[in-house]
Amino acid sequence: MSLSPTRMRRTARTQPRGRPSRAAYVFLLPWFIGIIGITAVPMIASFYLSFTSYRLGGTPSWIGAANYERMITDSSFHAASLVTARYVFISVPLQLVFALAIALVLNRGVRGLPLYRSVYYLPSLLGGSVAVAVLWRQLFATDGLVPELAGRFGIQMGSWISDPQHALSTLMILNVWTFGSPMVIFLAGLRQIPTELLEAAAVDGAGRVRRFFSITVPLLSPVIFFNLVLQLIGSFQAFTGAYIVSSGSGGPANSTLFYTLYLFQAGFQKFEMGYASALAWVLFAVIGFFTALNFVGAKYWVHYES
Amino acid sequence: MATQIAQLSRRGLLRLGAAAGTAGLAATALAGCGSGGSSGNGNGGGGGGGGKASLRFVFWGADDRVRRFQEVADLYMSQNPDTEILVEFGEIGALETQMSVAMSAGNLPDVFWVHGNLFPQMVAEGHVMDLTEHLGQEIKNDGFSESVLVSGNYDGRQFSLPHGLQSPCTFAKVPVLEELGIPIKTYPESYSWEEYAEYAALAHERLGPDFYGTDEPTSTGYYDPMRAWVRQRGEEFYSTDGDIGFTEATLTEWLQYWDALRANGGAVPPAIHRDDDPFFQGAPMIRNLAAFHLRNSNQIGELQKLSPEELVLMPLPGSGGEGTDSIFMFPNNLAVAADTAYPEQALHFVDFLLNDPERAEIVGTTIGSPPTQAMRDVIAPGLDAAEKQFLDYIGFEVEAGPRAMPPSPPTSGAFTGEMTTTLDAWAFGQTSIEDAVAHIFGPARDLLAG
Repeated sequence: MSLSPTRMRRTARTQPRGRPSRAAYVFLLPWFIGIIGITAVPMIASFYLSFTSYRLGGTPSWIGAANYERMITDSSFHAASLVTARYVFISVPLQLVFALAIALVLNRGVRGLPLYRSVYYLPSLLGGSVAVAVLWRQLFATDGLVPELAGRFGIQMGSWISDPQHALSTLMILNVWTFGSPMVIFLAGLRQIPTELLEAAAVDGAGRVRRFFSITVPLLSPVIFFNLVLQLIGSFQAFTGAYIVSSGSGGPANSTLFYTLYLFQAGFQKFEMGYASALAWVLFAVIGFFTALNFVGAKYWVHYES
Repeated sequence: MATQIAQLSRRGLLRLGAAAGTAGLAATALAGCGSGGSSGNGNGGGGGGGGKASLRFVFWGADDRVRRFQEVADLYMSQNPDTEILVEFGEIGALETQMSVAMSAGNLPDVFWVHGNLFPQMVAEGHVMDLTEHLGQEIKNDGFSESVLVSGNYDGRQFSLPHGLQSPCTFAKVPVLEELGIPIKTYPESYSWEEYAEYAALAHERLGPDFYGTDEPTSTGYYDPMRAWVRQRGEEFYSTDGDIGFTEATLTEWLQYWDALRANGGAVPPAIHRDDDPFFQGAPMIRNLAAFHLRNSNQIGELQKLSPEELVLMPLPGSGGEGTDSIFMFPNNLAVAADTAYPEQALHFVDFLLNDPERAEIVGTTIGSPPTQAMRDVIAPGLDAAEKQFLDYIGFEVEAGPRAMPPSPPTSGAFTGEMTTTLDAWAFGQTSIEDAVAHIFGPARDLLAG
């Protein structure tokens, strides 16, 4: 049943060059169904609903841009936006700096590197989970481990969870703690930096700090950019920690009212699905704006080898 | 293929990853708010005729309640081999979200406990079965008094039935009361609000500085004490036309009452109060931070197990004496989906849940008191002292015949949510009483209008 070389060539010619076979589409079908049914259709529906007054279970009625106009005077929307902005713009840089610092240490040829890498990566897997959020609540409560340890050093800190001044800080620390994911990417990036460049710079008399800022950072800048974009997007959408720590309220006194939590409250506690959809689209636009800003800014500080 | 991967530049890969991240992650939030098109009715698979009827029964609660209800379902299935009962449960808050989505998708379970926040909307939009004509027929209603049926009644029609009675009350640590010389007052008497404030302040004064009188039910989303306060003044939480039923002056006095208690240590400071979930094991009284705790009476058994000291169950301040007219209950109510594929079996199962003595013995008081005296008499011999206190308490309230209470409007969840946010800010000193009241009677009130 072997095919002659002539027939093989004919068969090959009947398949247009560069065009995937039907079989490929068959295998891709589950993904197509998923992207259309679970993502695209609900997205289109939510865009339409954002221009309606729609209570869950009821019938949507068209109200134009009223949902978007409402945000201008909605004090909870303002509070949620402020809390989220503080969270994103403080915790993401801190997390990346921390991740890079640990990656630099591990890149120095530490014995048992795979173990350290796994241990440091673990919080990234657990960080967004309910279990860790519950643990966090326990750690920072009045009788939690952190106030207890602080007390031994003479620092009376009380509960951070129920203090509007500090509740958000605990969630920022939680975010920084999940530095493992960017750290692993930094580590991979650091390993690609040619050692001869660093050695040549050292021979020319460049110190460690100079080598770091003049060679390591520029060559690592694509990886920094990658981590920055992903962490920024992820942080804008943070939800679990705030939901668990505040028991879903965003309290105390709106101090942990993340944007996504407010969106959830609007949709699933107040059943204002039209308004919740509008909130979701504003979030989409904000994330899109900052991502685009990153790409524009990248021209000035991200260096590619080629 | 390998060639194509090799041709992807590092720069391209990074950009691709970032772009994919933007689209994928942001789309999650957007897709979550779409209706997602129509969903099938989970009940519709079997149809009404032939074969084994399969009923989904949903309730909220923890392990003990789940174990008991599974036993109840097994008992029912052994007596009715043609019906399968699928027990589903969850934590009350999470279940509320789940049920709101199920309501929207037309996928409500056949028989379920209905959340107070969702019930008005379910009735208004026809998601629950009108049970009026079935009372005294498929569902026996002997012994169900008007006062226990009222919570499931809309415009003279019965849309849900009380499964377990519960009502707000005052818990207190008996040794603390004895040490301070504070009298225990049970029905038909109760403390006045002035006495409650005095005793709470005394507890802090004598046992402080880290011990307080009472938890503060202003900003935790638990509004039953405030509802009692307004009803005792002849007002209501909601008016019959779905608006706010109390005056700005009444709300102001309520907040001033708690401001004063917070100032003299009678009430637990918000930062300590909110350090933990303020109910059950996180309640300040259970954490040995307070002498009193305002919460639902059916929790006495569970709270007593969590407390090394003897607890007593007393009426809410002002609810005894001349105030019995203002008593109210929020039972765990049973409803049947309007579009259940097995209406006959669902009604039969509801009757079993309400009137079967063996069922009553299995469940005990874990869901509250049985709604009828007959079932209360059945379970009474097997109860411990704390549970007997509760049964006597509920028995008095059922007999007291309080005045009817207007139902919550469908938008009540949005209103109380906004009110909680406002009062939370006030409790932490971020807004004044005047501004909080103005906000509640302004933007929050607008939410009631829908």
